[in-house]
Amino acid sequence: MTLRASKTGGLFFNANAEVESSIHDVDLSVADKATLEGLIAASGLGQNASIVSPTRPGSGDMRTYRVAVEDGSHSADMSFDDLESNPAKKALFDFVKQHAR
Amino acid sequence: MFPLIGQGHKKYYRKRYSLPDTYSYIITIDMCTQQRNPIYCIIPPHLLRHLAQSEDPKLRELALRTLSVDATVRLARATTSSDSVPANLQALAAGTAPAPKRSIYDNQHQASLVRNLVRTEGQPPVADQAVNQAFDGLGATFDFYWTIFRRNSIDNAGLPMDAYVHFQTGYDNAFWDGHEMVFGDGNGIIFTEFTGALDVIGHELTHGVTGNEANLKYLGQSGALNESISDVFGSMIKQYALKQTTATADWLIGKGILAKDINGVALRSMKAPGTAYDDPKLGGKDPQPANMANYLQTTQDNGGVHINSGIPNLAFYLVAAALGGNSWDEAGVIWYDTIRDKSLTSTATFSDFGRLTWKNAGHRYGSTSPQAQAVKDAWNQVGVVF
Repeated sequence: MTLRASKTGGLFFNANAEVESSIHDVDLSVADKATLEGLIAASGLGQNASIVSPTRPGSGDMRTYRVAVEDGSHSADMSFDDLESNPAKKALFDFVKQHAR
Repeated sequence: MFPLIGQGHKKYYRKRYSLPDTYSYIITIDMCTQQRNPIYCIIPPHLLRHLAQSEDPKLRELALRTLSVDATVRLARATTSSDSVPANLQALAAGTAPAPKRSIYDNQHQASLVRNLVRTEGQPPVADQAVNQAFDGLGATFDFYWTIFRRNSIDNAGLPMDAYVHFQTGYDNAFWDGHEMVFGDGNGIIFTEFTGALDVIGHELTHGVTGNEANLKYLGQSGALNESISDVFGSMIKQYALKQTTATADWLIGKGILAKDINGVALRSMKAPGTAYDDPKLGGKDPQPANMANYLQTTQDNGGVHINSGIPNLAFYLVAAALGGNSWDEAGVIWYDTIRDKSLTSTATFSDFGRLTWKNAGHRYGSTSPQAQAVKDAWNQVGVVF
């Protein structure tokens, strides 16, 4: 299973911040893999092919976060913004960023 | 003697008029404002207020527009959108300026918004600097829009201004979510507190103004225009508060919020796009282009909205510099007319926007005026043709 995470937006463009990060679950420890699976389930990503949070009309400079997962023939992705109400989504994003090589 | 309701920065004339035909007289006043050195006109405010409540929408609009050019404001422009008329009429009829309705919330570093009210109107400063900076910044923005453009808050109908400070922990951003402002504290590595820059506060609130007017789509060229408009008005708000002219202003966006170890002066430079910073922590050199020849096609940053905004930013600077004085005197008026122009579509390109600024400069000052020529020259200089 491969996960990719990226973000875009904000008050100004920072090329470093927009670089995509990726992880493979086979590279993770047993404990980290369990955490990852828990976050995928809590975020809803495992049950859906695509999760796109509603856009906020008239907003400006909010960040958009994206996480995509590929597992054999199954793929799914989600995007959300800074005010996402499900904390598991941001936690999954942060997990991928922190564990990316 | 009738009070003077319009004044110019070059010269003006006092005149007494008889009013045999009020309707045509108002039209005449409106036309006066389109001259380089207009003969500024006189009419009793009570009559204008009366006319501003007319059932005739054309007469009402003309009266409101004339009222906007009052003794304390140069080249101000009254609002014309139908949904905003009542709030402005109330204030104008009462002879008082509307007041901001600010509320600042301490988000206590939470990731979702927490309505922990820490300061509102009539309350003294608190110990938290970010709270006071946000409160003052919202006030300065409200004051600018009302004084210069007779715009009553973000929606031109007295919208309360809410802001949240201390969003998340070390959050490196500030944004407008469509209803309210949210400020991070920065992580101290790249940014410090975002409330520390008045132009950033003005920038974010102007996203609200744009959302209420042109609603420019936040993608590609229309998104870059959306960003540029926020920079333009954010910069003018700072210049107005600091009493800076086009010559003395620094034309930087976000000066003072970069951490001390960053090699840079600000987030962006309107006067010299591409020169604000050069630091590996920020991904290298400021990527903003100054000309269409260097327009960046990218999938990042919503199609480069914070990158290609350098082009219309420079166009505005060039217009303001050519006309001199204060940026809001003429250049700002032309831009404000344009974002309120019903011809401006949500998917406008740089060329569309440039053409409308030229049209509005011609409408206000005359098609062969120095102002219209300055607009045309500026867009031509940044490689935008129309």
